Amino acid sequence: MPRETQAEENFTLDRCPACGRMRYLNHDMEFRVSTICYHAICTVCIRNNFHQGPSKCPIMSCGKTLRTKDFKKAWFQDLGIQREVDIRRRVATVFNKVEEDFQDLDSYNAYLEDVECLTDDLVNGDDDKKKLAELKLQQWEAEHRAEIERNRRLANESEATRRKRMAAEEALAQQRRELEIQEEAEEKLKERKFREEMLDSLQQGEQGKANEAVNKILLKKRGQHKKDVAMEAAGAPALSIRGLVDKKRTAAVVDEGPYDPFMGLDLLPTRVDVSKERLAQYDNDTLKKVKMDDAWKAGGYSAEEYLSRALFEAFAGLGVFVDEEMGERGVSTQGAAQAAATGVTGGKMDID
Amino acid sequence: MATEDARYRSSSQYRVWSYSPARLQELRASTNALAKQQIAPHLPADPAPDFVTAEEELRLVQWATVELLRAGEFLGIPTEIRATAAIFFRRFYVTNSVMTYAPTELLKTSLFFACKAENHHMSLGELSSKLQGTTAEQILAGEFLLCQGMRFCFDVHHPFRALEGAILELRRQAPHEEERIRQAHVRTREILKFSPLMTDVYFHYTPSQIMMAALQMVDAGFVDMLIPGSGSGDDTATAAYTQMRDRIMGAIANCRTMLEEEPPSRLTEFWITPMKPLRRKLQKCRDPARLDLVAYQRSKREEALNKEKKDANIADDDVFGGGGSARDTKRRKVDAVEDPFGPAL
Repeated sequence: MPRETQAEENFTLDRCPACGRMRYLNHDMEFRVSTICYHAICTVCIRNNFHQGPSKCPIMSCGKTLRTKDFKKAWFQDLGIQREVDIRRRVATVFNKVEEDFQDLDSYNAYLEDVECLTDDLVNGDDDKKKLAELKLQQWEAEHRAEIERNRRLANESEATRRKRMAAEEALAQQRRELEIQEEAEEKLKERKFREEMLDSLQQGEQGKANEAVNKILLKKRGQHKKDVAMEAAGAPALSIRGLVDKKRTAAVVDEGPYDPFMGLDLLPTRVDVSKERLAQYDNDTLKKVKMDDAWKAGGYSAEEYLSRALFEAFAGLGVFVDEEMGERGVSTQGAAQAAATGVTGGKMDID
Repeated sequence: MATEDARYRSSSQYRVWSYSPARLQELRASTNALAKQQIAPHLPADPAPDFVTAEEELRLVQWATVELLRAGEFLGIPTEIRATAAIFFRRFYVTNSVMTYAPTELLKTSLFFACKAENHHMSLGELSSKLQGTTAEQILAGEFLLCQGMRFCFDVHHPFRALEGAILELRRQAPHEEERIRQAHVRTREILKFSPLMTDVYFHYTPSQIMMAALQMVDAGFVDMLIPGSGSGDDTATAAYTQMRDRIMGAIANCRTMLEEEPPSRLTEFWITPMKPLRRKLQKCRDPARLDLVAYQRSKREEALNKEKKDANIADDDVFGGGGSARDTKRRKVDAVEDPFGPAL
């Protein structure tokens, strides 16, 4: 059998690479793709090779061990894409954090980039990279199983129930913390009592009790040792995600008052009075027309609006001195700066 | 700080299009120098090309502004929109040289675009049929360039409505001086229609300052009525008010001196200044590539089309990567694309 590379194989091939049967002669020939090595073979070969349990892939160069359940119908004709989609689906189920889990957009984007790099390693990387990425993925999955499960459920939840559950979680955590503190205090008390007892018993020279006490100490130490080993293992290079939201902090919602579209900018003119009584004192030909004829006002034209805008503009920007305020902006040469200075103080402008 | 000033400071006219006189001069000089540098290689070097200077450029722009105002009047475009067109035009030539883009072309584009920007409908066909020897294509050729040149700041604050407000206020304060106010109104409006557009006051002063300066030229007493001096009293508030008033009066006086250089009578007398020699000089040093804007834009479009075609010819494998280069194609750079907002000011 000719050695074929993975990219060249295609499940719509007219010929099964394992048994060599031709589609031309077997019209009902169907192909299935293995999700392990992405080789496509016909259903007859699968039955023949795997119905008695796991066996090697019938493609010579492959050598992976496969089972019947590893084969499935390929959705995409290009098996490279099929593989990438499968990998992406798998990564997405593990790294299923959402934007709300992060403090800011930057850290969320950094997270997305990390995940994408890992995916890319899995899809396009060489063997070493693939292995490393696979390891990372598995480690993350193992360590964060509960969280992943929670996020998955969350994705299906509505916002309201989510908030309720968060509050409940918070309360539970608080309870747990209190319990822990209490337990710790009890533990300490017990330990002190125990030590006193032990010292007493050693002092009194009761052999049996002393042995028991020493054994107890040893057992305790051993437990501590186990914990240390676990901690050391956890220190191995693993994925770490920065910028996750601190749940304690977000719990306190700051009341910022009603939304202000002008960000605190006061729109009432200070230089003219635009109260209704005052506006009634103004008059000109247009206004007379407006007052006489309702047809003007039918479309929503308001004389007050016109008046207040005209009066506002008459005094708007009077106290803005462009040459002083813009003087510092980008006057690069010394001569120009001097010209700017003289322009401010002198009456004559050096323009044109 | 008065809210009026804060609101004006948030406008694009203040943020982008306000300069100190020195800065504006510097900008114009650098525009001129850049244009020279760009055009020089395209002109025959044997008789060294005689470029127009920055001062001469300004004179040409002024001349073209008069042409623009006259064309606007001829087309029956309202005063405010004519003013908007003139300001668009002048803003464009702060960062672009008359040697690069012909002012006679751009002034039509400015008029057309000002009508668009101010919501005054004027169809392209109507405009081009009224202006002799102008095609619709010619008007459109410079449209995007114009927008780019003025940094897409389409909102121009004019002193016209400010004048309405001031006249209303004067009428309320002095009801018995009807005739004097009416005359002042008419004459101030005459000034505002022309002088501010011919000088650089829009770059250096706010609309209300320009309006006050024009009003002062006509009737100084009215300005004192609108900005009354403080009464007797020596507390800090009065002192601050007096100081502010002095500064405002100083700005108005400076603005007035600038406006007086171009009184409204110049609109009809402008032809007295001989412009022919300068225009002839300009013709000799124009950018040959951009002589015909329509052809220039067409060639640019074709260039872009050809480029796309070339892109389409690249094999799929090169784009999607045969394996190892997949990462590189993901990080393809996009900053080679030209910035639509043009280069930095």
